[in-house]
Formats: sequence, structure tokens, C-alpha cells
Amino acid sequence: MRDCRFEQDFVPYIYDDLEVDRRAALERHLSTCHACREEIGSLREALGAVDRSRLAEMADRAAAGLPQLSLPEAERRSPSAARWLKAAAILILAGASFVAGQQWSRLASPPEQAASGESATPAPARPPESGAGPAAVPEHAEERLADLAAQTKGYLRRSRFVLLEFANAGAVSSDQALRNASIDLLRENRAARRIAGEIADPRLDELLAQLETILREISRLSDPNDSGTVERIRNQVNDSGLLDQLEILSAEPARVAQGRGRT
Amino acid sequence: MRHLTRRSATALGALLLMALPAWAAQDQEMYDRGRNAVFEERWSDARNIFEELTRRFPSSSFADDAHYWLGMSLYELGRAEEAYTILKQMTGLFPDSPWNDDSRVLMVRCAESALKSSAGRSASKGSGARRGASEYEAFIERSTRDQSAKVQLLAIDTMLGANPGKARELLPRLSSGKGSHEAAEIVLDRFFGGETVKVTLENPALGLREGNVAVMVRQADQVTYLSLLEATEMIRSPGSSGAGAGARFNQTVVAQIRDKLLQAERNLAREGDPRSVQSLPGLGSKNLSAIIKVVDGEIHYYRDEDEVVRILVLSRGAGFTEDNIKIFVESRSGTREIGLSEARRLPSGGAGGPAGTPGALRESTVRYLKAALAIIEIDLARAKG
Repeated sequence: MRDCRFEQDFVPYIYDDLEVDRRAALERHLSTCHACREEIGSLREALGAVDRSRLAEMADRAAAGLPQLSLPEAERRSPSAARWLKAAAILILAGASFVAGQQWSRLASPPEQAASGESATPAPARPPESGAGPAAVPEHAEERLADLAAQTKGYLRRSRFVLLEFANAGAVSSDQALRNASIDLLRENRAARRIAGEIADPRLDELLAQLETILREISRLSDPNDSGTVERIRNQVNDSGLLDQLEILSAEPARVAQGRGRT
Repeated sequence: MRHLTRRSATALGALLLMALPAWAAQDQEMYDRGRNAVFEERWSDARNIFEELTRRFPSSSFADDAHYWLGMSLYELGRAEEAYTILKQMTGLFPDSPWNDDSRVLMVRCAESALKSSAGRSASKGSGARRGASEYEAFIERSTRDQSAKVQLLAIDTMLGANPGKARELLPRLSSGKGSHEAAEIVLDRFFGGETVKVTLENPALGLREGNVAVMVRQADQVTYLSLLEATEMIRSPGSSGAGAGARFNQTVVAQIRDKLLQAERNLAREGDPRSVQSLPGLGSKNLSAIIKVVDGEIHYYRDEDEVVRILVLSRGAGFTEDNIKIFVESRSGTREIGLSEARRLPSGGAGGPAGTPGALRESTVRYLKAALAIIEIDLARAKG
């Protein structure tokens, strides 16, 4: 499974963010690959993600449950009552969707900043569908990077701290806080990639994809004795040059922040 | 007494054994708290925790980690010089720490930030601040050759930002280094700023003269370096293989080279009285190059020790002709005028008579004259449309 060619699609699949044809291909694969099904299950659990197909299923069941209780009688009495019951089922479905939507908004937004007042000024929330026209795409790579940093509250910068710790610290395989930080960043990764897509920066998109792979690996570490896996992921971090790229990309916002006298 | 001592020692040993896990747990608990503060970017909290950890548990297995994050916290709090000192101590205290490469990366950032601060202070405090600055400069310079690819990449990126004139020397190290290809591309992206051509002057006070100008053309991850002569030849005869390396560029790229060179020239020019050249920065140095705009013409001023060249362009609209371009050379033997066609025929190795004789020009002066005239010709041709 480790080298499964579909692995890149797992997180977008969980967040229902995969193109139709790739989704179909992955689902075909899942129907025959037990390891990948398990992998997706554990990832979904780690991410705390709401399974939308299950939500829809729940809503279906809820809708199906209503007629069982009263629909036959209601249908006999009045067609409008049946419509009402269907509407109620739709409302339940809508409620479930709302929960999913809220979950999505939470996933798409970076975690709350600490209340110490030290952190960078929070960026304005970015609704998935703002209704406004598309924002202008920054022409220069530096502007696009600054745009991404502002819209994701320094996602790359925060990822850098976690990777630094992972690459150098001691017993990371038993480190729950590091794992949690990776899970938080993994949750934000989809939103960051969407923004990178909007600002049309393939290099950033590629970097975020690499980051997703590494964060996913770190978030799954749980065995304190699994030093082999830690070493493999560390090699992956080093060989991919991911940290090197993050160091250079983080340099400019840091310079700007220093220039502003940020403390 | 002996018995008592043995018993005391046993009791002490037992106490120590009991205290050890508590001690170990305490440093780990502190480290976890500090690290969580880092993840949440609560830098003051992180700094306090790691400071305490390094003070109370200097031999802890978390000591090197704590030093690194203390340095990061101080840097993020804008205390780059303190951060630099802590990290420098760390590399001495823990020479085998896995953090050492990243520690030097952070030191490069601290040095850059400290240099900016010290530039402001040096004016008021003088040589003390300057001495500190020279250590930071030396560290960044040294780091451009660091064995760790990421230290080297960040140092090159930092140096290119501070001194783009070093590009000719620094950029080739990107491709020869062991660093990630993607990271090297990012450094190139940042340097070229999305453009194909970049022109830099190693020392702006020396102006557009051969050896002081780097003309760089980026095509994907390849950079071609042109001398000023190669670039001007290519602009004047686009079909020629001006680039010694045999590089040929399409007309768009050649036009960009021309525009960038002219932009570099315009950056040297200033409005004003030709006499104002006497008050230009760098007058005390032995070499100076400047362009003074006067009415609708300009004066290109060049000095190499006691040899001074003035090229007068009487009118920018009148073209590259003998009547419009006047060249005067001053030396110990006096002032003389050189005709445009004579100046263009000067051999590159220095001319105008045997060296040391009246009328002889230094080789560097001839190089300046030829480069300046090539640029002026290109500029006037462009001005005429």
C-alpha cells in the first residue's frame, strides 16, 4: 500500500475534493484493495473528518425512517402531508449538510491563534464562496507567496516549525503533540492548496502536495518503537528538499515582519 | 562511622534514584510546553520556558533542542543579535547535535537581521557597531560555502538580496551545490523576479565598465553570463554570437538585455550641474563613475586615480555622431580631446602612445571608454526610436 499510486488522492477523497474521474478510479481501486481502505479509514479517523457519504446515508436513513413511522398513513390521508414529510427529510439532510459545511469551514480555516496577543494579526476569514468576483492573480512569485501567507495565516511558516522539530528532535514517534500539530496542518492543507490554485502558482501547489504527504506520514506515527518509520520519513523530508524550500520561502515574510518591527 | 557513612551514601543514592525520573520528567514537561508555544507562535512564552530549561537543566537530553528553539524565539521577538549569540554557543556546546545545520540556517537569518539593525546604529555609535557587523557579514559570506546545502542556499539567497552585484560569483554555486533542485529554483525565482534578464553592478560607484557589470540570462534553470562587451555586441548585431559561450538568444531576449542595460545606466544618472560630480559619494575613492544629465544632454564622468574621462553627449536627440559626442581625457600631462572614431578604434590593451608617455591611456580607461560608448550608442539609437 505504501507505494500505492492513489495515495496522493486519499486526503482530497476524504474531503470530497477529488475530480470525478479520479474519484471513480480510486473507488474502483478501493473495492479490491483492503490495505488502502484501511488506510483511508485510519486517515479519516486521524483527521476527524466527517464522511460525507455517511452523512448522506444517515440523511437517507432518516428520510427513509419517517415514512416507516407515518408515511403510509399520511400518504393515504393527504398527498400534501407526504410532501411535508419529504420536506422534513430534506431538512434533516440539509441539517446534516450544514454540520458538514461547518466542519468544512473549520477545516478550511487555520486553528485559532493563541490568545497571547503575540501572534500575527489574523487574516480575514475566507469564505469558500464569497460571491465577489475572482480576485486578481498576483503577477510575481513574491506577491503570490505573500498572498498565500496572508490567506493561510502563515501556513508554510507554521509547517516549517513542525518539520524542524520532526527532523531534529529525539523521540518523535511517541510525541502526541507533534502528531496533533501535523494533523492540524494536514487539515488546513486542502484550503491552502485551493488558495495556491486560485493564485495560480504551480510551484506552491507542488510544495503543498509534498507537504501533505509528509504531514500525513507524521500524523500516522503512533508506535514509540517504530524508529525505522521515523528514519524513513526523515529521509523523505531531506531528500525532497522540502525543508530547504520552506526555509527560503519563509525568509521573505520574516524579513517583512522584522521590517515592521514585529515582536 | 564507616557504617553510618555507607548507610548515608546508600540513602543518598536512593534519593538520587528517586529524584532522577522526576528531574527527567520535569525537563521533558518543560520542553513539551515550550515546543507547544512554538507551534502556536507564542514567542514570549516559548522564550521564557526555553531560557529556564537551558538554565536549570544544562545537561538535559533536551538541552540542544531547547537552545535552538530559544534562538528561534529570540529571533521571532526581533532580538536577532541575542539569538545569534545563543545559536553560536549552541554549536560550540553541542557539536554533534542534529540541530546544527538548522542552527546555522537560523544564524544566517539572525545575521541578516542584525546587519540591518547595526546599519542604523553604526552612524551614531561608530566603530563598535561596525565590528559587530563585520562578524555577521563574514558569517553570511562563509555560509555561502557551507557544507550543508540548506545553509548554503539560504546564505546565497540572503547575500543576493543584500548585494546583487555578487550574483556572478554566487549563482554558479547554486548548480554546483548539493542542494535541492527545487530550492535552487526558488532562489533563482527570487533573484530574477520573474524576468529573464538581470543586470547587476558589483560596485555601483564604478559604473558600467567591463568587469563591474554582470549580464545574466535565465532560461529555465540555466543561467548564461555575458560580459558587457558580449552583451553590447549582441545588441548592436543581433545575429552575431556575441556570447562567448556560443549562446544565441532570440530578439525578445536581446531586447530585454538592451533594456536592462539601459535601465542600469539610467540608475547611475542624476540630474544637475556637471560640477556636482565633485560632490558625489565616492569622490574620496580612487575610482568613480557617474552620469550627469544636463538640459537635453548628459556627461559621462569616469575617474581612475588621476586619469579622468568626460564623455559629453550634447543632445540625446542628435544621434551617435562625431558632432554630438565629445570626449575629453584629463591626466597629469594635461587635457586632450579624442574624436569619436579614434576612441572606437582604440585597442583594448591600452593606447594613445606608449605607457607612461604623454597621451597614453590606461587599459582600464580604454575598457571604460569602449563600454560607455557602446552603451551610449545603443541608448541614443533607442532614444531616436
